Amino acid sequence: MDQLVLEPKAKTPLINFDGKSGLMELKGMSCSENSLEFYRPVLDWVEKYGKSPHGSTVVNIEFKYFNTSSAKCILDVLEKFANIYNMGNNVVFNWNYENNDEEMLEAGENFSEILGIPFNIKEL
Amino acid sequence: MDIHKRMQHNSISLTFKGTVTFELIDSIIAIISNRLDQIESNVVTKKKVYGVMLECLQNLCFHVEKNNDLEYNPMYDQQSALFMLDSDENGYQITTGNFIVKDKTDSLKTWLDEINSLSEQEVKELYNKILRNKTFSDKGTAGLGFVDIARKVGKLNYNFNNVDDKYAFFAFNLNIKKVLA
Repeated sequence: MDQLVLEPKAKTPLINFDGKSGLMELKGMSCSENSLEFYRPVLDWVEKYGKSPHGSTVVNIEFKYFNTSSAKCILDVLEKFANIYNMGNNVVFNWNYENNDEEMLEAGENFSEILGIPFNIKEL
Repeated sequence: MDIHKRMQHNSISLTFKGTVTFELIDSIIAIISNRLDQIESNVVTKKKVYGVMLECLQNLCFHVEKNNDLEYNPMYDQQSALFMLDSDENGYQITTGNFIVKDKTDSLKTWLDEINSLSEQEVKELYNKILRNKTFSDKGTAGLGFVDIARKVGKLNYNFNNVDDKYAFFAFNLNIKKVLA
């Protein structure tokens, strides 16, 4: 499985998914008015990755901010990784947030609760 | 508000009336973000202002885009929307305004009243409930906008002003309190 790399822009985050190492990175801003369009290829990639995942997958998430339409898309992406975890694979979720950013702390706790999977939540 | 207060240090003031496009939102957001970085040291407050402003502006844009029924009116520029951001020592005030067909005011009012009737905890629960629900509207919006704003600021203040037989003007006002250090 190859890489999926989307460079960060003002309204879209860095996506750096490496199928060879199992290291997945989502980082930055996600506030496009058209989040579905941005996340569709991301979702497709994770769907394919899930068919033959790396022995150990690490998902590092670090959002500065995301808008409401991104929230749903991010949940969808994480859910695909959660499915891989629920199939008995080793998947670690690291949710990092900026110093004092209570909203992103809460968002991480929220996603973890919705998915029913523990996240390593860390303040940077 | 006394107008000279707009000139205080650490204040912010922006008023826009016109057609709201996504390109324009990008410019407004960039300007305000820079200003917030200068004047607001509290990360939570800064992100609240940023987030509420963004949701409000994207709302306005989606609203006008999908409402081709906003006909020409000799008195009012119905395709236009209003966006205002002001601050004082206590916090930030965001006001938006847009024309709306009267048929749609009841459902919007019901939705806003429902959100306003909820406790802080209930608003969070409603947010999660909608988040779990996978559907998007035709426009790709999540239906989370007003709930997310309520989660950030609490009460959603609004008013429908009568325009004519067919239209009303929806005025929406939010207050974000500053966290005192």
